[in-house]
Order: sequence, then C-alpha cells, then structure tokens
Amino acid sequence: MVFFKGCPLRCVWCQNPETLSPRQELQRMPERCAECRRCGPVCPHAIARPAAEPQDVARCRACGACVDACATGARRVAGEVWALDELTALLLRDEPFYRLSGGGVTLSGGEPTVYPQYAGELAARLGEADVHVLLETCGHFAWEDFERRLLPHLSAVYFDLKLADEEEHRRHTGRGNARIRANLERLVRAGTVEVLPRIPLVPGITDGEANLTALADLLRDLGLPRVALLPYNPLWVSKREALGLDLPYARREWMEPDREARCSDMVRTSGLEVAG
Amino acid sequence: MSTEIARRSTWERTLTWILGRMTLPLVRTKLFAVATMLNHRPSLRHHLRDELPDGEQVVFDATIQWLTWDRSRGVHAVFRDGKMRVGAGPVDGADVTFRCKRLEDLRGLFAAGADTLDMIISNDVAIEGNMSVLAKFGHMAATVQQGGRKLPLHERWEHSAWPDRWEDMPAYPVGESCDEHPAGEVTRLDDPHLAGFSLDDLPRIKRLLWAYRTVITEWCTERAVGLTEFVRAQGEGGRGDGDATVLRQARAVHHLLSHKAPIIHDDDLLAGTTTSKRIGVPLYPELGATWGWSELLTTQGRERNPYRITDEEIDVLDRQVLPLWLHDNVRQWTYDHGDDASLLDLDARFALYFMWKTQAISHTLVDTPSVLARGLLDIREEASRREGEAGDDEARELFQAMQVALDGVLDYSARLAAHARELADGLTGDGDRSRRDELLEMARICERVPAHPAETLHEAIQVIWILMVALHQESFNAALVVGRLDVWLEPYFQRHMEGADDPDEKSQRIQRVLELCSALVLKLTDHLPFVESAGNRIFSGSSGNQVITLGGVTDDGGSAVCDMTWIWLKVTEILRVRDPNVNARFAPGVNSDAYLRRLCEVNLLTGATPSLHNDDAVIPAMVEQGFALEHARDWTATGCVEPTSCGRHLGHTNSMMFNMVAALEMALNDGVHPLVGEQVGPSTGDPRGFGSYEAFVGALKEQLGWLIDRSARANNMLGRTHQRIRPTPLMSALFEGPMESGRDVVRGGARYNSSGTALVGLTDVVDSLAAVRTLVYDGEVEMDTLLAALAADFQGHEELHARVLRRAPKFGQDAELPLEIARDLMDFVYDRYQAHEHYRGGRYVPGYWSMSYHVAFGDLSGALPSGRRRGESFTPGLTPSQLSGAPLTEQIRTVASLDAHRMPNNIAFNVKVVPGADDEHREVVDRMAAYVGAYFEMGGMQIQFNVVGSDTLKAAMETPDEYRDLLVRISGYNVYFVDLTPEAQLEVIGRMEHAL
Repeated sequence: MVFFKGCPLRCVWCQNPETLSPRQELQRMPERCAECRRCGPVCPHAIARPAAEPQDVARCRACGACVDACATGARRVAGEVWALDELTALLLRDEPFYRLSGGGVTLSGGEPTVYPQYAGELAARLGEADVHVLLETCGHFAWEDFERRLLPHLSAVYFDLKLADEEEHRRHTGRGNARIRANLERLVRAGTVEVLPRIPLVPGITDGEANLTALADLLRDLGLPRVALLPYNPLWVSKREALGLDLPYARREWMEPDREARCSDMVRTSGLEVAG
Repeated sequence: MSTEIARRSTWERTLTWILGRMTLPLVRTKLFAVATMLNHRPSLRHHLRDELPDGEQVVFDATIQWLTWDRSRGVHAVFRDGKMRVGAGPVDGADVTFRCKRLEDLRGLFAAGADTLDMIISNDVAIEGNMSVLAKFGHMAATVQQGGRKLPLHERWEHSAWPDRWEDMPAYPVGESCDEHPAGEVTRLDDPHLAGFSLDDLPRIKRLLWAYRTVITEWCTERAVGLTEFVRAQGEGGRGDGDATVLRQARAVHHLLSHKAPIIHDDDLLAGTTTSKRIGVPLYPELGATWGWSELLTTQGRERNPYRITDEEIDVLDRQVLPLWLHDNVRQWTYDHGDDASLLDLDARFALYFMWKTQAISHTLVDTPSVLARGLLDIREEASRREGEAGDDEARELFQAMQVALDGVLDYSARLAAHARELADGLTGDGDRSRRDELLEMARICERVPAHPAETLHEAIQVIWILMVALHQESFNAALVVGRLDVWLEPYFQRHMEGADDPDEKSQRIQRVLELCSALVLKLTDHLPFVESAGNRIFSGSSGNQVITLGGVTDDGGSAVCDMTWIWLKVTEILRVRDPNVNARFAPGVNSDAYLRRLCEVNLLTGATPSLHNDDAVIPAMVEQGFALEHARDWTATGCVEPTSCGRHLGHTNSMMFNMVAALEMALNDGVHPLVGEQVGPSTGDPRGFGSYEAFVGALKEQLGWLIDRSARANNMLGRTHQRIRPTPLMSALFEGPMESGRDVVRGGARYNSSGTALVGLTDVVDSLAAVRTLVYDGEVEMDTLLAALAADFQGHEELHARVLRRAPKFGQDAELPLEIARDLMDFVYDRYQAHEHYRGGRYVPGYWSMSYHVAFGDLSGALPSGRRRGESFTPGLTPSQLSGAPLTEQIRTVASLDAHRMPNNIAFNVKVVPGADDEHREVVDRMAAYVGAYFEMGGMQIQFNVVGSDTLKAAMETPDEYRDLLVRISGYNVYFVDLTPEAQLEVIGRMEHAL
C-alpha cells in the first residue's frame, strides 16, 4: 500500500486524517509519552510539549527535532518524501508476494489522483514488472489528467461513493458530488479497468435508507452490478487527536453487526450484489 | 527508616546469623538420620550392600560432599563396606560434590519437599562429579523419606480424556479434493489429495490410534535387563579397550535381539515392537539411564509425561541393573578418562551449552534402500568376504562384528515369523479367518525379509520397521531417522497398483496402502526417549523425533514428488501424531505449485506439520560442506530440521545446544556469567571502559569463541569415549562407508562425517547489539546506565526500556543494522566452528534452531539490552522477536536474506498464523502457499507454521483434557501442547500472531 498525502475532500469521518494535508505533520501519541520533557529544549520554535499535554500545532513545521529527542517513540512525523526510483525499488522487493498471492500494490491515501504524474509513472513502472496496481480514490479529480497519465497504467479502481445528495455531500465532505459522479460515469464508459464502487457506512451520515437506495440506483443505472460496503470503524479518532485536529464527528464505537446487515439488505433490495 | 522496620531488620539479621551457625550441624543431623535408617533397618540395608540372585555381592562404594561455595566448610557422607558414615568438613576424593551459593540453599537441599532440581537448574547449587552416584543417593534418600513407596499416578491421568470406545473417537476433517495432476508427480491417483478417505474408512487404524491415545507410557526394562545380563555373563575385562570392544558390542546387540520378546499386538499389520510395553521407554544404562535412578519412585506421579512403573521393575532396576553402570557409562567414563573433566562440569551448569553425546551419538539414518534391494543376507555375505580380505585387525573385527549383529536381526525376524504362525494356529473360529490369514501373511513376510530383498509394499514397510526396532537395541532412541519414505517406497507402490484398472479395485488397493503406511506411523509411536525431570522441564513433551522426509528433488535434479508423497501427506492429515516428525522439501521450479499448496493444506489442517524446507537453499549449503551434488540432493531432515545425506552421513546433527546469550552476558560482566556466579570465560574487561562499539563486539566474540572452543572440545572428548566403549557394528553394517573403510561409523567409517550444533538466541544477541550500538555508542545513553538498568531488570528504568523497545532497530524489521550484525556473528560462528578438528574427521556445522532451549536458557538469563526482561524466553529458532512488531512480509524478507551457506545445520523460522473465522479454506491455503513460495524464492531455508490462535492455546492451558491431541511445533519438533511446561506454553502463546 502506498498512501499519498493530500486530499481534496474533508470527510468528517476520514479514516486516515494524517493524509489529508499534503504537508508533513507532527503526530503525538499520548499513551506512549513518559513526560521526560526532552522534546521542549530541542524545538527550534520553542513550541514542543510532551504528547501528554496540549501543543500549538499551527506553528509546527514538522522538522523532526523533537521526534529524534523523544525517548519513547511518542512522536513521529507523518509523511515521507520518496523519490520515484527508490519507491519503485522498495515496492518491487515484494514482487514474489504479489505474484504468488495474486496481490499487488494499492495506491491509496489521501488521494493519489492529486499527483497524477507521479502516481501514473509509479503505476507504469510497476506494470512493467507485471505487478497488479489498484487505485483507491474518492473520485474527485480532473478527468483529463487522470485519463492521460494514470488510467492507462491501472489494473483496477476502487471508487468510493459517500452521499447521493449534493448538499449533504458538501456538508460532510467539504465538496459537492457532481464531479465525482461524472468521473465515475466516464470511468465506467471508458471500460478499460475493473471498477468496484464502495460505500463507507458512517452511522447517521451515509447509512440511511434514502441515501443507500439512491446510491444503489445510481450504480445500477451505470450498469455496475456489485458494490462493497465498508462498515464504520473508530480507529481514526486517536489518529486525529494525535495530530491535534478538532473532532467534528466523534463516534468511538464500532458499527453494530445488525445495523451493517440492514444496510446490506437495503442495497440488495435495490438489486445490487454486495461484494464480500 | 521507621523503627519497626529497623527492629525487624535486626531480628532478621540475628535469625540469619543463628541459622548460618546451625546449618551445617542441622544438615549433618539429617544425614545421620538417613544413615541410621540405611545402616540398621533390615529392609533398607540392601541399598548399601546387596546380594544378587546369583550370589554376586554389590556394595555401594562412594563419597559425597556438600560444601559452601568456597569449599571451605561442609559435610560429607562415605559409603563403604555396606555402611554409611557422616562426617564434618570437606574430604578428598569425593565422587560427587555439591556446592551451594548460600547456606540456606544447603539447608533447602535437605528440607522436606525440597525442589533440588530447581536449585540445580537455577545454579543455586552446582554439582561436580559423578551424576549417577548422585542419582543413586537420591533414590536412597527418597526411599527413606517415602518409605519406599512410589508416587501414585497423577490425578490428571486417572481418567482417559478419550472416549471409552474407539468407535466414538471422531475422525479429523480432511482436505479438499484436487483435480490437478502435475506431470510426473502423480501417476495413479485420480485425486492426489485422496479427499474421499478419512480415518473412518480405516477402522483398524482407528483402533490402533485410539490405543495409542489412551495408553499411558511405561518404563520398559527389557533392554536394560538384557544388556546387564549380557555384561555380567561376560565378566570383567574387554570393556573399554578399543579394538575388542566392537565384537563385544555386536554380541550385546545379538543378545538383545535374540532374547527380545516377539510381540504382535491385536490389529498389527507389522510385526515387532521397540519395547515390551505398548508405549515403552527403553533404557540405555550405558548412556543416561542411571540419571533416572533417583526418579524410580516419582516419574509415575509427574503431571506431565508420566511413566508407569511396577514395584518389581523398581526393584530390578535399583538392585540388579543400575548398580552395574554406576561408573560404566559414557559420561562418567569420559569424566574419569577424558582429558578435561571441567568441560563436563560446565555442561552440568545448564546455562552455557548442553552436550548430547553424554546420551547418544544419534541423529542419523542407515542406508535403507540398500537393505530393501539387497536383503541382509547379501550384506552379511559382503561382510564375510571382506573379513577374509581385511588389511588390519580393526577392519577384520568390525566385519566379524557386523555379521554377529546382523545375525541378531535375522534371529529376531525368524522368531517374529514363528510367533505370527503360533498366533495364527491359535485362531480356529470361522470369524477369525481373516486375522488368521493376515498373521500367516505376516509370518511369510518375516520369513522372507529382511533376509532377502523386499518385493511387495508390505514387505518393504516391514523391513523399514524391523530396522528401526533393531537399531534401537544398539542406539539411543532419539532422532533415528526413518527417511525418504515417498521416494523409497514408490517402486513398491507402483507394483502394488499394477493391474488395478477397475475403479473399485483401485480404491481398495489405495486404501490398503493408506492402512499399511498408517500402521507404520503408529508403530513408530511405540516408544519414547527416557526424559528425567530436569529434561521434562527443558524439553517436555519431546518424542523420538523420527523424521519422515517428503518431496524435493531426485539424485538427477528432477522432481522427487510421486504418488507416495501424496499418500504420506494423507496419512499425516488423518493421524495428527507428533512423531514421526514429517518434513517436506520443496524445490522451486521443479516441484509443482499443487504440491506446495497441498503441503500448506496439511499444515493448516494439522496445525503444525509438515515443516517446510527449500531445496534451493539446503542443497548448495551441503555442497559447500563437501557433499557430492547427488548426495546433497539425497537429503532428509534429522531430529528437528537438520539435513543429513541418507545412509552415508554420520552427522550427529544435534551434538549440542549452545546458548549464544551466555556469551553476551559474559561480555557484559568481564567473563563472569551472572547466574553461574563465577568467572567462566576470559576476562575481557569492564564494558564501561570500552571505547567503541567495535571493542564491545570484540569482547562478545572473545567470549563466544571461548565457549565455542569448549563446546567443540567437549564434543570431541565425548565422541572419543563412544569410539572406545560404544562402537556401533549394526549401524555400521547398514551404512555406506564402513565396508570400504573398514572402520565403524563412530570411528569415522562413514562416507561423510560432521557434528551439527544448534545455536540458541541469535535474535536476542543481535537485537541487544543493535540497541547497544544505537543507544550507547551512537546515542547518549551511558554504558553504566545500561548496565544498571539490566541489573535492575529495567525496574526504575522505564524510560530507557521504552527507548530500547522503540528506538533501537530490531531483527526482522526493514533495517540494515540488525542484518549486518546477524551476518557478522554468523560468519564468526561459522568460521570458528569450522576451524575445529573433528574427532571422526569432517566438520562442525552450525545451525540456528532451539528445540525448546530458548525457554530453558531464557529462564536462566538476566535482562538483555534487547529489552527482553529477566527469565523471559529467548526467541525460538531463527525468528524475529515479538518485540520487533515486524509484519510477516518484513520478517520473511529478513530471514530469507541470510546466507544459507553460513547455517548448514539449518534453521527453524517459526511463524504463527491465525486465519480469520470467515476465511475460506482454499483462500487460506493459497495465501500460505504464497508466503512460503515467496520466502523460498528469496532464498529462505526453512519455515514452519503453527496455525492456531492464542484463544485456543489459552483454553488448552485451562482444560488440557479437551486438547490432548492439539499439536504445536516448538522449534523444529512437534509436541502435544498440553505436555509442555507452563513456561513453554506461555512462550508459544506469546509468539506474534499473523493474520493471513
């Protein structure tokens, strides 16, 4: 899996909040902090505080000085800069695993399509080594660039749909869904790769009957027979806290199995197959 | 300090002072009490002076002393002229000396219910001298204390955990059928997985399996009594003077085989038994059986792995058998005649290395294909011819001895045939007809083989079995290998299937093959090696480790996988027994993917077997050790994982278990081993004074090299004892080499020679060095601080502990430093061992696997710079530590990147995987196969999966009776999980779990 950092959406339940910003960021894990206070003195901006205490994150430039000083690994910098050659070589070390298991490399994020040239070149090189390349996308991208640079090198696309209603979509993800819907249609029409639409089930936001039925209708109209449902998990909450970000949506419970089953039933009733 | 604590502390000091003054008189008083009983009570006097039925007088003549650590004070007991006398102070010429670190330990030794063993293992007490004398005293003391009564069977074993009727025992689930027929690997099987067959289709086998599961192991005195009789009849003389010894040994083997009870159990298809018991522990008094003397009254009461014993057997062993072997056993002979007894005293400290040659030269196999093709008469004839042409006395006597030993096997076989006829004659009813026919067929077979070449599959399997029985009369029952049973039996299978074109007929014949092979497997479970209580803690649940190896390549490099390979995998799947230990070779690009997937499927179903090996790594490593390519290709695993070239290679592949961490602890303490408590190795300086990481590593290597040198010298010394007093003419007759060389295999007569060593704790040392390098020499932690933290077991040093865990790179992670360190250490170990001369010619070959010594050695070691705390287990075999947290792909890449040429005695890479509850069977198999395939492609040598979750293992600790057949692989060998010590059980539970 390669996680790209940076995403055009701001879904309030984002599972990988450390990949929202395209910049490197400091993450602090309070449960590992011994409060030894070695981080403070080494900080060039004099803002570093033990992970167990609040810290001003806005001024942090993620230089990593406090990370090196930390005795207990309670701090880390999210995001690394990888040259294309090195990243390709790293991924190809596992080529036998991909080949023998029928697996491959997944480009995820964040949003890989934010970097169509880099992602496209990476996918191309992996493709030359016969590695299966899967893209996971939120669907919000500029079609022409995507079509030209990235699409030809992909083996499959997992395409996330969240909300059918434009306004609701804007409210919970920061953007409307018109471009996403248009991109999905173009992708299906292009017909060059396997496309699996996925719906994250976020309690109280995406898991209502109206939304699921509307999304199912949309998919059926596009001729897509199967959809994957991603039941909600709360593992992202602590990651968001580690970044010092606010919590606009703070559900800490896992999704109940029967609620998940009800969602599956709704989608099935609309004539779609639910991918296991 | 509060006054109360001060007062208590003063009181405690006073008490300690008083007890200190009183300890020696108290101990002397206790010994006096023992002496009074032994000297005066008529029922006990035979312990000191006895008269055997033939009138021979047996007098216990020995001196034992119990001393303070500095040897300045103590008490002693002298046994002479049928009396026991107790005296104060040390004496000269003691046979055995106890030294106690603290006076309270000395008191503890004589306390009621004292755990002497624990005190010895934990090095509170050190023992020097004759272990057998000590065991004899232990038995006398136990007899006095327990009134001569043996412990009852432990309550856990009073009721069988199995159904009362064999029919009610459920059959295990079987794998899915397979419609692939890889070219050349499948010829006559429509479904190579044989999914249509289960245990329920083989009722006879089910009955035999039920019998095996429900029977409790017993001591078997047959061999020990026979050997003792033989030696007594020979009288004094002849023993120990090298050249005549080989004939004497041959006559002993002949005596044992020609007096051995011919036994055929109900339902048996194969005649003969290793012991006279259903599951017996044969005794080798000339090796280690005298160590069991002190446990005659107690093994029956062990919670784990008990052995039943009768009062008559206790009496026979105690009075007639064991006294003869008090000094006349390999360890003591070496102690008395070897050039450096201190090497054995180090061995007795448990914490540094463990020498297996005190027990055996084993871990090898004979040239079975040659016996199958030629028959023993032909081999005997060759020996006879060579006797006439022999160039020297040694060769002439060896060839003569071979004939005597082979005659013993033929005698036993003839008596088995006669017994089978006798049993058949006793069956006259109509309902008995089929069993009668079976017995007559068995009689016919035993009349024909092993004297003549085998022609049918049944004959071939009987040959394999009778060879195992016969060899076990000569050699200790640890890791005598069965061999490459797929390749060797394939021609007989093909003949067996000839003309079976009708599907029903075909199916019946295949069922018969499954029955015969299963019968052999269950025969191999009829004996267990004697494990006294120290061993029961260290490698509890271990069995004979009789390896069967499957697959790989043939001599010319083609695929060796054949119909019989799939048959043996099926047998492995339906029986799920710990021993024989099934090992599978895989040759990437030669063996089919379908075969690899089947290996993974059987491993998934059984949870722990087979263990998987890469021909592309093992064979080149063997070639570098001097094997011709075709001989390297003809390899089998041995004991746990170690490669042996079949029938021509005496590799004693488990000659020793070696604790690498001991060297690290000695380097950290200037040559003192903290647990042993004294200067053991050379003084390499206070680590606080080392100016550089290189200096630190230099000190470690000096200690490591010092220990390696001692271990090789100890092995050579013990090997020479075997050469003098325990040649093996029967094994030599069946080996490739001795006929040409005229030398017994223990005297270097085999075509290839080596001794294999097993190094334990590499990962722990590597992670420790990586931490020292990163935090001390490249970081700002002071060595002094680190040493203080280690001494305190990281208590009060939590921050440093966290730093070690999180900031120092660990073996198994994507990090260069630990790999560099590992490679450097492996190069060092390899070069050092290979530089040693070997007493048989040949080389020392290092390997990295640990049986269960990672638990035992770990228990005896302090906190390490790796972050491992005091007493915790080391990492098993060559496996990344769970502290690394590395995902499976990283671990696989790391282990695969090590150079197989530097670990020619193989490795054990332990991986615990837990499939998800909803995962499809086939998907799991495919994923396992993908991991293994990738690992092998990257150059990995060996990998073994435990497919079991911690929940199951914890439940098995809670309710062991419900999990008596739960198999797990420790580090190379299989055990039933419930037979393990709690420490070893926790180690398995603590291993990293990988999802699939």
